[in-house]
Amino acid sequence: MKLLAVPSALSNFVLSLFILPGFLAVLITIPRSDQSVLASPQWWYTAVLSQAAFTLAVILTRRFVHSISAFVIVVIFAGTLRGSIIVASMQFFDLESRGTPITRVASSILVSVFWIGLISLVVRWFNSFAVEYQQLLETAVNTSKSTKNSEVIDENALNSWLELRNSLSELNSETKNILVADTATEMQRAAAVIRESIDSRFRPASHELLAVAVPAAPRLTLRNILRLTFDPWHPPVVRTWIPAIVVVAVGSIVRTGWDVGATYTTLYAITLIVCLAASIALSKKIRGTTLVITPLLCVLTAMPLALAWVVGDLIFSTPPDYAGAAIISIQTPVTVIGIAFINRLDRERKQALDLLRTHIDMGVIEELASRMLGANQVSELGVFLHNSLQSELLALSILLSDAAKSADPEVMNKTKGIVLSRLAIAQESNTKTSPWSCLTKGAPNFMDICQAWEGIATIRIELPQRSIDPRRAATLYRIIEEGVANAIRHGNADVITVVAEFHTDGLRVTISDNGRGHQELRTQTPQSTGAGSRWFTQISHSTWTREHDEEGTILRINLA
Amino acid sequence: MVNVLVVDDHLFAGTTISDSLTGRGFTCERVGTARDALALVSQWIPDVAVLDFDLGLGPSGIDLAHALRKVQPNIGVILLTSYRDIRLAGKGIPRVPSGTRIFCKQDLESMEILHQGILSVRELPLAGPGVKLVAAGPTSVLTDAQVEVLLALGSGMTTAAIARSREVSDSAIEKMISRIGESLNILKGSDSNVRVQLISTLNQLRTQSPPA
Repeated sequence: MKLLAVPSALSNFVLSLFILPGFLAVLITIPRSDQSVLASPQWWYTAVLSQAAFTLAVILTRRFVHSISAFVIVVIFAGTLRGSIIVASMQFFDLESRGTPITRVASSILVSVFWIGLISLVVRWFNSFAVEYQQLLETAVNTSKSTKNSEVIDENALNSWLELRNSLSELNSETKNILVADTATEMQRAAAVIRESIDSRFRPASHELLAVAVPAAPRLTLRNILRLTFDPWHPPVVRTWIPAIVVVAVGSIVRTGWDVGATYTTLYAITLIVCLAASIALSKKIRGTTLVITPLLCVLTAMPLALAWVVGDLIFSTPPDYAGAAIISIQTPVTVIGIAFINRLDRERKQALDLLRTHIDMGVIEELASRMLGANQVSELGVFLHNSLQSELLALSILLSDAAKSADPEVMNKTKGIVLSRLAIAQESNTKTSPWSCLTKGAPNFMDICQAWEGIATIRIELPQRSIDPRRAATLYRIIEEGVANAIRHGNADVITVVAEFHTDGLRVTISDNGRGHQELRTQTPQSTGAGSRWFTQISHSTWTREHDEEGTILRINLA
Repeated sequence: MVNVLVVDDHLFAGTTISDSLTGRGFTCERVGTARDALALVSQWIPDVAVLDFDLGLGPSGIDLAHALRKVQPNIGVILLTSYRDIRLAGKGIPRVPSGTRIFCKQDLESMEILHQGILSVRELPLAGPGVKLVAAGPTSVLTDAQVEVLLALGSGMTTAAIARSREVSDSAIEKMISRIGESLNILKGSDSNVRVQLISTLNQLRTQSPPA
């Protein structure tokens, strides 16, 4: 339910999906059975007005949704407005309906909370599942053998590297030719040549390399996820059918009264038991057909009751209720399927991910990994060109300019020696056999973090005895890096303890420090803003907390 | 005699600065990491520290500046950076210590500028308030949130992914991207894509050449 505690739970997409059930709720459920909606355009005006009011109210207030209670309040507020508009519109157009204005508003609130809650949950769960899928795919790519293949070299990068080698060599010779007699003019000319070389060769090369896009992993499609969700699936009885029976009971009693309503509910429950028994028997005998049987079951269970609504007059002397039959036929299957879909994604997510694992084409992964490695190498080379080589050359040109300005023969002679030796070193160190030899590689070492901050803070890191898989290790490293930097930069901490341990729900990381010791107790949650906080929320699926008290700060993050 | 501590993780750049300063009569020590810098100042007292902003893994130049001020409260601080707007480095930027002078490396046309800066911060090491962010150049008009979105775009994230990470709607991110484009004078046109232009601009700003 935490997924609903954000403004995007009421996104425009969610609101657009509510338009159809919202319209149907007005056009089917409110008019009396003997009224034709098609002959009364006023019902359509009512539907449009009420739906527009609901949408506008949600758009204006959704920014306040930062908790589940705020979500419910916003939907109830918008549902109340929707119901009030329906009542006012019916009075204005002099339309007749079942029930009183109060039941109309209450019904609107129920419809809004039910549909918006259901749609929003399905959308948010799907998005969350899609993110996990993407992470899984990236893990597969990152751990595939192609990422370790040092022979994979992007053609663009290789060409740039060869050009760089030539450029450095030419620059070295050119500078040597200019710096002959140690005069100020020569120094200025050499400085100008180096600067010109940076502008015309090295900087454009780094721009070009940095602009190369890293290929993205293919995205999860709704079709795939639906197939994987329904394939090995039976609706969980308590979570799906009982809400469906409640929906039927409420709807039947409201429309026909207690006696008939109870009879209809009983009929639905009996049909349900028969259908479930038939479904279980069928799926045992005919393997692999649950994809068809399960949704069919949801629809079939509603059919006898829908029929009873239509021919009810034969038994109960009630008029035929086509609208009631339509509601039963639509709402109960959707309720069951929707809740089961969410349940499936929530409770059996890992199983679904395992299924996805087996569906991944390793050939595609290897190719993707190879392309990504190439693009990353290009990017790293671009950064190297910019951060290291250009800075070095710029520094040389400044030295030459300064020496020329001093006009001191001793300084100029010394500078000439420095510049020529530096250029020779640069040429030698940057033209080794592999383009990537200049780039820092290798898996990060957790103790590097302790050493890097030595003198500023004392950091102790306790890792679990069990080995951590490469994806988790990389994420854990980033968490510790970010958590430690935050504690020092924003909390003035100088003693930090990091403990990572395995629990039943995954890897738990606790970063405690002695920072902000005298501030009053306050707690930060996944709703806190800030780039670091948002990143923690993303990687931990909103399961992190940060608490401050007199002794310091404790950051807790769970990695599933 | 002015004692100057130079901290740069690039051996070549650090040595070049150090050599130049020594040639001008400064007493100079060069180290490559924050750890070595702090170990050194326990034995030797520098008047001014010339720090590279990006020191690799761990503390940045700003973090080191704060640590040095704890050891020697009156130390003058000069920060060297490759970025006109440090926010484009994509790291959380803490408040810069008071009196710090910041130089963009590409604007250092001559070492004379750096020498003058060192003498200036030595005289008045604490003059001027600490600043939270070092923002200059075209992106200085952007808010922190806009810079974060721009960096997310540059890292290849989709609008939906950025919206998810910031817990806002897709349309909010689209509007933000549009406003960033307007702020950076990137005009919408039928023949051009604002997103691509923004990423291209970001790459150029990260590696911007000095003004003519």
